[in-house]
Amino acid sequence: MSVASALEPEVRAQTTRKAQRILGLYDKRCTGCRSCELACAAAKSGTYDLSQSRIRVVSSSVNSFSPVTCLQCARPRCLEVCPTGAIVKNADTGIVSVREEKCVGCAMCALACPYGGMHYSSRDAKVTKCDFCDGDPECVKACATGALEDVNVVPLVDTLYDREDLVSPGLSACLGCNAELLVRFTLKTLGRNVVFASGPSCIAGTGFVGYGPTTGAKVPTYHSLLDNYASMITGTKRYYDQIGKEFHAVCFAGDGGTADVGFQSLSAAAERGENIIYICYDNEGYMNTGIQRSGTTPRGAWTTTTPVGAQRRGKPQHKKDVALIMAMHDIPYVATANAAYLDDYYAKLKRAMEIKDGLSYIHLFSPCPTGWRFPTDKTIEVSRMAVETNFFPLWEADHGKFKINREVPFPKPVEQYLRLVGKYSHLNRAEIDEIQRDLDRRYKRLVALTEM
Amino acid sequence: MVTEQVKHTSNAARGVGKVTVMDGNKAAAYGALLSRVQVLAAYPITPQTPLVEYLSQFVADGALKADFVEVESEHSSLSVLHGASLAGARTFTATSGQGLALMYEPYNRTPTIRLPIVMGIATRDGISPQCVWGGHQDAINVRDAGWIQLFVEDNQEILDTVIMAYKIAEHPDVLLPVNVCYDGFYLSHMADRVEIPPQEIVDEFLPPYRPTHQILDPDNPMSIDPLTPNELFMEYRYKHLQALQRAKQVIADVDQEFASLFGRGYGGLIEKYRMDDAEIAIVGIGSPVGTARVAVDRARDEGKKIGLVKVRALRPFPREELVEALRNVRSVGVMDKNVCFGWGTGVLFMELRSAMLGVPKPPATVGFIDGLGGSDITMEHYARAIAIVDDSANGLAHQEITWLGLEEE
Amino acid sequence: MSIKFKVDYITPIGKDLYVVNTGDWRYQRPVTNRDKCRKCGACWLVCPTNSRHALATHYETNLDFCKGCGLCATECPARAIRMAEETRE
Repeated sequence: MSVASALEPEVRAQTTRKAQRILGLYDKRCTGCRSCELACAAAKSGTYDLSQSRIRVVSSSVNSFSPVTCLQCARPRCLEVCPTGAIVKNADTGIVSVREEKCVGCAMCALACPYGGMHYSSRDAKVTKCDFCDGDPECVKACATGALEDVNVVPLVDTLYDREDLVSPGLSACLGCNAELLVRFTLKTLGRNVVFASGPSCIAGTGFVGYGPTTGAKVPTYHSLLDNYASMITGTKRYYDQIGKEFHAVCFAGDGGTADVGFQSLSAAAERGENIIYICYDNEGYMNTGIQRSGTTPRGAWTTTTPVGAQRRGKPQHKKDVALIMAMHDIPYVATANAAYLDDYYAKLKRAMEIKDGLSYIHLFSPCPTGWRFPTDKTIEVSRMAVETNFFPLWEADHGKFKINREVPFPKPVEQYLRLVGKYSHLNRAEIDEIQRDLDRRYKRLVALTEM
Repeated sequence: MVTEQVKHTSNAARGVGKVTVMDGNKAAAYGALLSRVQVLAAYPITPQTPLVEYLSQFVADGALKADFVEVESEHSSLSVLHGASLAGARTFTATSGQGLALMYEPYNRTPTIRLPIVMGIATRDGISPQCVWGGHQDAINVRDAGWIQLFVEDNQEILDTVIMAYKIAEHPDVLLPVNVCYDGFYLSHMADRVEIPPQEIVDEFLPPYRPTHQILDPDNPMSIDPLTPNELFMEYRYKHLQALQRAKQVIADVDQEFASLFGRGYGGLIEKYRMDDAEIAIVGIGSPVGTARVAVDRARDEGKKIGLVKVRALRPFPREELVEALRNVRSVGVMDKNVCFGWGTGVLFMELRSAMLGVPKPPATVGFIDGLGGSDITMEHYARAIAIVDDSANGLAHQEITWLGLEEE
Repeated sequence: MSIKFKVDYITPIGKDLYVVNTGDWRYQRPVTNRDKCRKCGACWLVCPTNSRHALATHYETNLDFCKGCGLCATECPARAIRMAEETRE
């Protein structure tokens, strides 16, 4: 019996959608500090002998580092070549481990592994490897830059994987569109029992509201006016409440329809205490019409109506903080969310679905590769960096109680965020410093609210 | 389609109700109450404001089992009704002047997505010059948005027309919104005798609204108003226009049915008054028609063979009905409480002229503009108008358009 | 004049599903290394077109609607996905 055939039933035992936790390795964030190695060595050998570490930082060129450790492969080569059957893969967790009593120290596995995951310990004449610290990896805790991450989307993936995608598979959104990702995720979370208002915006423009006698959504959707999302859905909600029909009334609006032309109807619906879920996906401008400025375009940003020239350098005014303004309406629930932290958004959306005593407002940060000028694969990276620099903090206010949901102990300078996004590429030192001061002031205000 | 005047006929009808005195805003509120509207949304604006107060009181008293949404603007009042109507509710709102102007965006969208919403307009002149008083300019300015627009003469007709408006709007051949236009102040704030029809007979006349053409409902998902490509856009426009034309028959039929139940009818699209042997005629719309009746009676007393045609429906325009009603007269005077910018006339005058195009031996038409910005259309003004129509009928020199209130003594 | 209608509806509504063949847009495609894929589901979560799906052994891309944005490759914590130039048969 070959080793491979012995393995297969075990691998097959994994259900098709069983997600697993994973140690995320993000080269670009690694500074080569080797804190992970120290932490690992200490945890596994009780010494600071770096040779005992099961993770290594390698440098491919000057100032370019990669954390290297076991990837817990789906079909581990190490397992296939081990002559004593000392290496096993756990079907539930996916963790590949070495049974010490069976290991003869031949190091065949270390030769077979293409990823540098196996470590021969001359001290013990055995092979060691990353065992994910029983689910609480020390290296992740030691990493200050986020180059190592305990990627645990298991509960979220398990919860949502089998849910129907309530959006057409083919929407004409741009490549890497964050709003397309968010509208699918939102509907997967909300389910079918909704009425959706989706007015003129990128999402409506992608065909979500349909074209001709068709629809891009599998839920009832009204292509509302740009400025009447909140009042229109009020009517639907009030009537169904009157006849005892339960459902979620949801607005999915862009920042123009929320912060600018539609703000009046939103503010009024909040003040009246309408029981609706209002979600604003904020791509910081009129992206669907060709990247014009809106009330939520941040200071300094280039748009086609705040161009960069000899006399003007992007938008001179601040971004309107709509979420905070909505919180000042004293509505039951306000939250900010972001696609880099979907578990956080999921929890907030579920909370909004529980709210019955008024309006819930969720402000989604929605980077736009086309309008913000960054590569299409960087949407999540930009979202993440916005949180890590406190440019877009994740917070909620539940019945007036403010809470920052993702504290950033050592916020990165905002410059790191600005440099990711092309619409800020013209900014000079002084302008960046000014943005940093604004950001610090706003963040302080938010912290003060959480302390009330 | 045209019925002779059956106004205030016998009390033999089953739907005889309580007689009381109320202003026009209250009559409109009673119309909504008796129609069992389910969602209301309104914003106060002169001269419609008391209507908002009456409706709020009805809801507060429990007389009207409806949701009253206290919106922040007219834009939102009609928008709230969009959402409610799309869910299947019977809805009502009212506005006036600048409120209608602010409502322009959802206003245009109401008929194009075929929502049978009924909306009162306490008509008010357009600004500027800044004024809050009556005139027909607000409703007239939106006559081509695709709504049905019914103009009324007195408070009883306001109440009755609101009820009829639902029956017309919700008719499967129509499915369009209806404006019930009543003169600001002249009707909105003037008390008048009004008979309140009994609820059970109104219920018999007006069954609940059950939409079949569209619905916003999680149990029956569809997208409402997707992006519509050119040819399909043309098709929907065509169907909308056809529905508006079909509404002419429905308006007449509903009026007949209403008359048979309640003992009051209004002639459908137009009403003819003393037209049988008339050689000249006045054509009017809205509350000035009331004064015109007296003016016509007086002229008859002086031996003039004069009649009166009241236009109830401005949209759909009663083209054939007017041609038929006026086929035997030699001259017609059209009383406009509005202006038609760019033509130097009133709108009703322009439209009547258009209706007469191609008619063999059409009557001469002369136009009068009066009553703007709340000014009175007096008996003297009507006497002057009738004299000019008489001159025109007799081939004497006369001007085409006369601004009655501005003429030198 | 005889009129031929395209739809039975009197009002603009949409019931059939609107689908754009966005797979045609792709200039690069994700290629998954089955060995490295740990089935964490991160790619499935971040894919804007919902094109990733789980097989018994790894996550794979349904190329019907994948636009080739590269988000899955960039966000894969196991570095199991690379973007390869799209070639047409």
